Amino acid sequence: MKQAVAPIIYADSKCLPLQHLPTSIIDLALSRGVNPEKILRGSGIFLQDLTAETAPEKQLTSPEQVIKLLDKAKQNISGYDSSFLLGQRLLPGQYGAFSQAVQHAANLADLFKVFARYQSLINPFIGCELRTSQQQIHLYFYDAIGLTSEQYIYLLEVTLTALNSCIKYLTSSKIKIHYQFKHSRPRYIQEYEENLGFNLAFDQLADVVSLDKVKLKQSFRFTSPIKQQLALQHLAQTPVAQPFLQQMRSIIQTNRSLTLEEVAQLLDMSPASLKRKLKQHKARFLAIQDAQQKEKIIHWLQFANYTNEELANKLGFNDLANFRRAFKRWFNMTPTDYKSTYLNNLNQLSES
Amino acid sequence: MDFLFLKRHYKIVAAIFITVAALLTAVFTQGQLKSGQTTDWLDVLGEGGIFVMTAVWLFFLLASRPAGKVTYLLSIGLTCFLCSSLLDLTDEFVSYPSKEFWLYWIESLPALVGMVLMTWGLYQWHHEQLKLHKQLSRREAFYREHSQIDYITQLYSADYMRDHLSQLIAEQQSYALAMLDIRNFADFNRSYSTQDGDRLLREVADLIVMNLRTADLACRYAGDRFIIVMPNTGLAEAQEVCEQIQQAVKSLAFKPNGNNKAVYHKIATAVVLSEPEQQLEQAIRQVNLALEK
Repeated sequence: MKQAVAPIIYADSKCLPLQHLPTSIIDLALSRGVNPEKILRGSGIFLQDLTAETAPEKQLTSPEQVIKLLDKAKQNISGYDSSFLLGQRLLPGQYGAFSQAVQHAANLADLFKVFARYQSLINPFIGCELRTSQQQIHLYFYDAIGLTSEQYIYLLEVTLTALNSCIKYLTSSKIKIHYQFKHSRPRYIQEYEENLGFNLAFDQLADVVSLDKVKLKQSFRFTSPIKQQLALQHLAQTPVAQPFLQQMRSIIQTNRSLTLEEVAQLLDMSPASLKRKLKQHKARFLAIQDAQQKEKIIHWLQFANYTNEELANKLGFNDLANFRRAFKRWFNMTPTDYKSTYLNNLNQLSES
Repeated sequence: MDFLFLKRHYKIVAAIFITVAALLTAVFTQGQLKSGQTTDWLDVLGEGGIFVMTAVWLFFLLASRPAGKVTYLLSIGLTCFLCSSLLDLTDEFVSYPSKEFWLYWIESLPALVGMVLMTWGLYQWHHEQLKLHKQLSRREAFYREHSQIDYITQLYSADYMRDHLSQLIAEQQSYALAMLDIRNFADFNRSYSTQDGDRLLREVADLIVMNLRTADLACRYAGDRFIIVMPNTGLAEAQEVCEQIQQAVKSLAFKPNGNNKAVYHKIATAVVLSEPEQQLEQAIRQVNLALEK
């Protein structure tokens, strides 16, 4: 069986238009009195490429190159707010059909769907997956291209600020969004509060954005079903290129028992070159499988209120002892300890 | 680095170069080169190092200070010192005709004169600094940390505020904490430009400072949020100051670039009082939440 696979974005694929993030980075540097040459040095991008009308293929950059720019921007632009300022400028933006689909979204549910499906068009760095629970809708975020943890946090800040400020822009009422982060509370917590709000929990097991379903159907400011439909049709015409690790996740998700060799075959490459690609993107096959399994459990435990028996059943364990053992391997604690550590402190947070 | 000041000091720089060149000419025309074997390289290293470091000091002095009496005193003093150290260095390589030769005289005297001038300059600098402190009141508290100054508003950042507040808490001083934010700032940024947004932030920051009392301190918290600490202040007083700031911002006729039409802004404010035994983060969280309501 061979399924159609969307084009893959690797760390070195030239796929990002210079006019998007790179231009925003340089603009920001300029407004902070930083010499743009300092940021561009060593990235293979030149200032004249940003301004001149050069050949279109020259105006594309790779995720790798943009990450280099971001590293330099972080180093050279003083203050903690550069990632947040970049995020503020990102959405809806002027990215053609994608921006149109965002701008004219009917409501939050609609926006989340468009965002989860197409955001890799402008952000191949951080992947996101939509999950629902009884009362809420959730976006889970993960590294889609192979970032260091520092780069990941920086880009997560960019992505979440973009989403939040876009929601603020599209709606006229205040919407409470809950954030959970894997990383610890940063020293510059004020930027999180200012750009994401006050419902923040750190040291959690996943990076999740949650929204109450009650708010999902409130209509937006620039709603236009026809314009949006046109944009969505346009987007559907071409398969959406997916960042490499996102692609890996979605393949593994469809069939959890796939081996590395089988996945390689699906992707039309040899097992050796798949391994090499994975290494290039700072990932391992088993780790991706594991991470996905863990994420499901985290989701079910937190938002679905499953008992241990139900959870074991859902995951295909036929006896509870086996499940407990596997759980301990994943989380270094028993399911009961897990619940008291992570779920209680989360409740406290939302009460205060 | 910004070398704007250095360009303005071109006369001083030229004078220094001429002096050094004249000295070198005098040394090499009047003296006699020693043979290489007698050179004490440890001396050369020590004295050469002093010369180079003095030159570096002189460079940064001129690069960072505006023209004025203090700058002149310090640069003349350092130049004297530079001349002495230069001669100290050259006499490792050159010998003079007699022990009472006039260049020996130059080698020891200017260093002393230079130190006296620099001391006088330093004393003047102290007075200058006291005046500057007055200029900086309401923008700066007990200590200076230039890396914590926010680029856009030139106020100190949240880090500085945290340090300052922990100091107050450690001294068990009571204080009022106010948080201010510009309403609909994100929308303004989207409809105009981020340059306009930055300028607005700067002007609002200036207005805030103008309306504070001398003991108060304003910092930029994050984005369009400002935080003010008012030591030993009651709720009513603090609220009055906030209202005055609100009034001032309300009547600021801000004109976005290329636009004659003024855009008016409002700010939201919240005030909380310090409580005994309260931790720093709690206090900040409280005033933040008060502003959210």
